[in-house]
Amino acid sequence: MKATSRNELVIIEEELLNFLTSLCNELRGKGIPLSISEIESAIRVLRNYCSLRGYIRENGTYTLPVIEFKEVLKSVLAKRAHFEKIFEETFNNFILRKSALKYKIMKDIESHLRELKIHYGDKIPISKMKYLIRNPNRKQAFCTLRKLGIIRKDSRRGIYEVLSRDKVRSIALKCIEYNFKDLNKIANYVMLKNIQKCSLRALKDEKEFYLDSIEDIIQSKLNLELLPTAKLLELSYYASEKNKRYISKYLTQTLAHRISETPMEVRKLDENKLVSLLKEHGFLSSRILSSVLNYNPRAVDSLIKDHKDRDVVINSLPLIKLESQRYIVSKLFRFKLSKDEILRIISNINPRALSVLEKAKYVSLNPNEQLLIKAAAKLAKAFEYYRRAFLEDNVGYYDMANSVLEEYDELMRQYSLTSKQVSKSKLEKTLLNKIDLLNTLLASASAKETSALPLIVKIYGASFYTLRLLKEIYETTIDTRTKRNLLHLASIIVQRLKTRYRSYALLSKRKKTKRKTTSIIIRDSIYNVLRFEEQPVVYHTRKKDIKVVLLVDVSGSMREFAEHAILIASTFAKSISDLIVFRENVIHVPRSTLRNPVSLVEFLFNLKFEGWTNIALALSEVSRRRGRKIVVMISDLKQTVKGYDPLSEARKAIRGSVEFIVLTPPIHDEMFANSLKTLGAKVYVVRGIDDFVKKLAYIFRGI
Amino acid sequence: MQHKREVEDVIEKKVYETYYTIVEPFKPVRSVKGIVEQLREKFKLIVSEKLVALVVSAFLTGRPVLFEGPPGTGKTEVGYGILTLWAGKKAFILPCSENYDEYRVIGDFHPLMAMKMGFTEESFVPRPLLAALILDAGVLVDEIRRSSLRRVFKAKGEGFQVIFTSNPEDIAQGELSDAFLRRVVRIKFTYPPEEVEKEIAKLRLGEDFKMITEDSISKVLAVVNELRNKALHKPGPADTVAWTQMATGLAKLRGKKKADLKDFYDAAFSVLLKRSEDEDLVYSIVEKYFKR
Ligand SMILES: Nc1ncnc2c1ncn2[C@@H]1O[C@H](COP(=O)(O)OP(=O)(O)O)[C@@H](O)[C@H]1O
Ligand SMILES: [Mg+2]
Repeated sequence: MKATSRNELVIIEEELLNFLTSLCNELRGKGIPLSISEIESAIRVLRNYCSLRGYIRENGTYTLPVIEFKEVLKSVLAKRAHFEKIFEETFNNFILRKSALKYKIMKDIESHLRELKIHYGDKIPISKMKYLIRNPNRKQAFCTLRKLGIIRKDSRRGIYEVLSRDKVRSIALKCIEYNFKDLNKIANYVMLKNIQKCSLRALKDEKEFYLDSIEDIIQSKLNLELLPTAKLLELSYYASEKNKRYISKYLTQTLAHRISETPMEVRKLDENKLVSLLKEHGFLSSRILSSVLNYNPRAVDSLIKDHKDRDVVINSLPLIKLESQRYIVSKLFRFKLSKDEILRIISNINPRALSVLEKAKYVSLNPNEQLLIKAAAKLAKAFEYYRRAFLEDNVGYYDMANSVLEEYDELMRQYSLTSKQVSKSKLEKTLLNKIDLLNTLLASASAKETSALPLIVKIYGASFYTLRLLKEIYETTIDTRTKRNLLHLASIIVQRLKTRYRSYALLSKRKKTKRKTTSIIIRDSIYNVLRFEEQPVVYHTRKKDIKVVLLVDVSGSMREFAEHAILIASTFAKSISDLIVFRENVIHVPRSTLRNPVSLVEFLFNLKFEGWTNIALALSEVSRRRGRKIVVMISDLKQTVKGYDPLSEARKAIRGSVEFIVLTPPIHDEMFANSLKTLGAKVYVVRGIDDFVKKLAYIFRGI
Repeated sequence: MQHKREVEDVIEKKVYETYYTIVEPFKPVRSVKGIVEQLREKFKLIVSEKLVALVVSAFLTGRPVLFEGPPGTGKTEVGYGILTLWAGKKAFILPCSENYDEYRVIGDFHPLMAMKMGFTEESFVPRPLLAALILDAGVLVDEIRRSSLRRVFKAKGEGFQVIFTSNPEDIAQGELSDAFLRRVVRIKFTYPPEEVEKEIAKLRLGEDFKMITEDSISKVLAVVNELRNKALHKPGPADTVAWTQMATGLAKLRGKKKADLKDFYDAAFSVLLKRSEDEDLVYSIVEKYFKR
């Protein structure tokens, strides 16, 4: 398709199909419902029109005025008044893009070449070029051409090479597709894609060039989503070396954001560079740090000397998994810690991680506390031996466990002698608490003493927290009988929780509405007519009421919400047609699981909260379910699996449901949330977990 | 000719008996240029080749056409004209209203005859749409939004084509369904540019147009355009024509050779004042241009 004079288009019939499909795609994206049949109609009407007007040239080409082309397409593709404007804009955009843009791009490229006084196919020594581009205008032109790949560096021969005219032309053609009007922006975009694909090696070899480019890319406000994490880090590091603070900060911020969304990425990164950058620019929050440490605990090494950094590390501990916790704690204790720090570390970690503290130094503590910490460490160690004994079926470990347990007993005996007189310090209390827990763990792991389980419930009550605790034990224990007991115990707690959810629902009043259909019950209606009833016509009411499809995001950040949501779903199982939990994949939870508390708990206990999120996939599941439905989605709306289009899936899902409700935590993807709203979804931002539970229960109440 | 063929089918026969003379068959006009010319000559309508070409290409593609636009822009007359010329027979017009349903359009049973003979072909009364199908004539469904008809009818012969008209701004009218819109080719009618509107008036008034000065016709168009921007009732070209016709009529009665400001002033209100809310506005605008 090309423009001849100012107002005419030459259309080749084969291209027309491509043109129309992409135009219609864009129109569809903007809310105009169009199907293949409309594209087909458009082509046929256009063909007839051109033949009537005498616009058809030989070999299947049409030459017609742009305005008429537009009017004909509009009559088939935009048939509602409010679609016309959308059509108009999109169409103009397309035409502009296709014809004017190419012309403009070529012109701009050539003017840059002129600025540099070089021609297609030239070869210029690197040194000469260096001299040339001392002038800022020339430098700008040079950079743009180089980013576009029109000027290439050949280091071996020591020259810069300009591509031939034909090759430049094909580059220009590709550029059109990027849909930017300004050559500079196009160049930056091309460069961004180049950085995405190039090797780390190339990045190192051409530091200067890449750094300059990324600066331009940032200034032109392009989205850095395309850049791999490792390259973000390298570039940020170079920028920092070169004292380009603004650039370095921007890149680090992007990096921090990336890490909090997909912590696994950290594995690929150099932890020292990463930590020093995060620190330098003030992005070292405990949340980000926990993501870093979870997947790369060695990053802690550079953070334990300074007490401020240590603070952040300690705060991030609860979010870190056991193995990494162990490493970090042992590192921390190599240092002289204050009493307060020790207290916070101990209360923040999994009791099992205490096992690394057997030989640690803790000069700041009083003898009682020292005794207790040692005892706790011994107990934790004994537990690990037990576990290994069991896992590896090795009696040797039992002996070791028992001997460590004896040491523990001895320490506790000493402690009980000395601690009687004085009141207990905070640290002692915390430690005793952990010791309690460890004892329970030990009891359940060794499977001889499962009666300890109800004790937990006694201590902590039938709360959500207890459920968490039981899950932890469930994960650590190996004995199947204990596991069974745990499930039963947990299911009892679940029953109690359900009563609570129900009471939330009862607090709110919302009337059920009867849904009429259009079909009439003829017999009843006739009777009513004969009896002169005021409203004689009786309609069939819908037997099947609307049910809820519940979508629950079980990525790491959504853990608490998700657990509650699943429990609430089971409370109102009657109103649920489907419960779908999703991460990078989707799991369809059978209704039988929802109804049976034990299988529910088992499901919950085996559910892992980590990994990537694929909202698009989950939404596509919704569209597959037939019938009238209300969709409730619980998610922070962050699509972290790339290559999907959550918005278009959302559109389908929203169109196919009676009501589409989203509950989302305060930190969520606001752009996506807003788009959902404009598509007709109801998006509620919940204030916290309590608010969430109430809102969700309320929704079920109304159904 | 078609009607001389032996007609076996009872209903077809009936249709020929009742409707054939009404449609006054003549030689169909199937070229775009021909249609444009004839519209001007026979129907006194000014229509662009582009529009006719689009309508005809929709016909050739087997799609019904929807004319949408504000009142008085010629939708009904243009539709009727094109359909008539295309089929070579007067088109059927179905003016729509709420209770215009499929029975009224296609056909129903004569109650008395049905009592006597039962629901047979004899007692069936064919209505315009069925007649148009059988006679291969065009059908204009006028103001589709006012009807309960929501179907798009399939064409059999070449001559049987359907044009719908509709005014999207009329709030009393229902919405058109997606399914309906999907099938039609929609052509939007707008107010014509000034030269065209002048041309229309000239064509409609014929000899009488000479009674209007260049100055007054520009004033008429200025008033009309201002009202289109501001008033609730927006005058269409139909109103421009009516106003100028009435003004020249008055001038003749008053024995003048040319219509003057007073004639236009006096004629204005009966044409332009359609809604009481507009009263002050219409007065002030007309006075601005036509008060001596
Ligand atoms: N293009 C046109 N050519 C000639 N007359 C026109 C034209 N458009 C509107 N008119 C005037 O409007 C009248 C027709 O209006 P009509 O077809 O009833 O409009 P609509 O159906 O759009 O309300 C004609 O009688 C004529 O006076
Ligand atoms: Mg009309």
